[in-house]
Amino acid sequence: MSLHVLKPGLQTTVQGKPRRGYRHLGIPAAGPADPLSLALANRLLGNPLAAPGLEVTLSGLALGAAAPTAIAITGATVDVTVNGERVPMHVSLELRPGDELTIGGARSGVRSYVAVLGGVSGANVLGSVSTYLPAGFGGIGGRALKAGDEIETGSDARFAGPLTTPDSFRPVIGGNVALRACPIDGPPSDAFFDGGWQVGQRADRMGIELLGKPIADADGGRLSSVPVFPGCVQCPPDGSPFVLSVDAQTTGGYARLAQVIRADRHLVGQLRPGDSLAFLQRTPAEAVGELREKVAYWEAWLPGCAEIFA
Amino acid sequence: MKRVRCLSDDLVEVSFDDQAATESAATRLRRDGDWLEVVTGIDTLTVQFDSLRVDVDEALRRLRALDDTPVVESAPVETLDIPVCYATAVAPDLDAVCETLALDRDTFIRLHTAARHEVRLIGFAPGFAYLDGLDSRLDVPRRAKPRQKVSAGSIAIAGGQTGIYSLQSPGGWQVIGRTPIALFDAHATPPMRLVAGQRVRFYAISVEQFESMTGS
Repeated sequence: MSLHVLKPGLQTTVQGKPRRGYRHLGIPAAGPADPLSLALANRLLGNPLAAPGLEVTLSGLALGAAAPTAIAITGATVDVTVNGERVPMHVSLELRPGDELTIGGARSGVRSYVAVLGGVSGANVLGSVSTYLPAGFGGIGGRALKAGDEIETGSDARFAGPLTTPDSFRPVIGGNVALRACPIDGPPSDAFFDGGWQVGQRADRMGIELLGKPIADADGGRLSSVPVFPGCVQCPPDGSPFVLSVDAQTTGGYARLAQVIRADRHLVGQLRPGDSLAFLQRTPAEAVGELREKVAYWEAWLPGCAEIFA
Repeated sequence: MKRVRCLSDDLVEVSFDDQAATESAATRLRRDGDWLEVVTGIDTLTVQFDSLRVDVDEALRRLRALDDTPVVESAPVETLDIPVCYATAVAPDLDAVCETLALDRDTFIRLHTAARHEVRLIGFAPGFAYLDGLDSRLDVPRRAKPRQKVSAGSIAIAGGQTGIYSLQSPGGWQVIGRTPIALFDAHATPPMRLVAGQRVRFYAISVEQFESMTGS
């Protein structure tokens, strides 16, 4: 054991690489809602970019170190302390036995990520340790962390010395967000792509409600169930769309307005109630070009990062 | 006639005239092994691919050329007999459903176990199976308020279909029983015992039988 949970926070789960290839059995991918931030945290410790870490939602977590280890914190803007002293995000920090780490409430964005040297251990289910809460599997007991939980980590990793994320690789999280998306089904796409949207209160790992001018005639009648994926913008008959996230159900019967392009899906996981949001229309060919550009940019700090933009 | 269209940089949708063609095409695509996900809906499937390795045009070309003639071995012909306990403790909606339908419990169970069901689709929630074949006298709507947690093994009805919750998940169907047998095992290959096209018959068991079979 290297860490124990003193305070679990609102919802803290173990998330690593997504669970791929089981959507046809109704099994969503899960994994970090913001995989770029988890990769940035892992990078600071020399872990594989998708090594399992802790996803902390909105409010505070407190961990105690039971053995020498190292951690790094990225994602939503939070106050971090070790033994009561403020320490920065985006640096790797060594912890000695008895050290106490706290993470405060998120000031912008929703999810911060704690990477631990060697990666966090969890139950491997269908090739991934990522926690999927609705069905209760993966991670630690298939559930969010509780006070008293013990966190095991990979044992043979060595701390290679402190690292800091360069300024040009620290994502701006929260506030005004633009998501590039390809239109799927009517209505006239202007209503959706021109609209200024706001993130609603109903926001979790399954999907995020969007507030704005309701989309008229989004659902011309009862539609058959079709496959849906994270990044799909669905619109129920009431005209208020929502964008699906990493735990999204695998099929759905609502009208699909658009699909957020692969390059921008990691942004969905940080959408916070009250954030303003715009959708920018792209063709699939443009979207591939923009994905290549984004991967080329991040390669300079995160070698092998293509896999995290999924 | 199938129709192929690109949904985004890494998703292509293929629509078919019927479910048999959809499932046959999906079976072939999963055998290819070149696709990240092959998911079927009603008369439609969507393929997710790695757009950094497979060009969008290349994906479209391959999917237009896709063979959707029946795959003979795609669905087991043998009927799977699934034991169901219809006792109130594991069938929280059965009393209300019987009241809505103006049927007594025995009649409900007789009609539900007499029908020949067939798995139409796996999806929505983890391990959730949609089954056709429900007796038309057992047509009820979904619950007005979905449950946050429906127990694994729950057998439910709504919209003229039977649904099986192979894993615990949220859900809005009316739960009318529960099977003690595990239909989903994350450590088995394949993890799910039900596939589209699988024929299913339900048979009623007592609470005692349910308890003795649980975990077996």
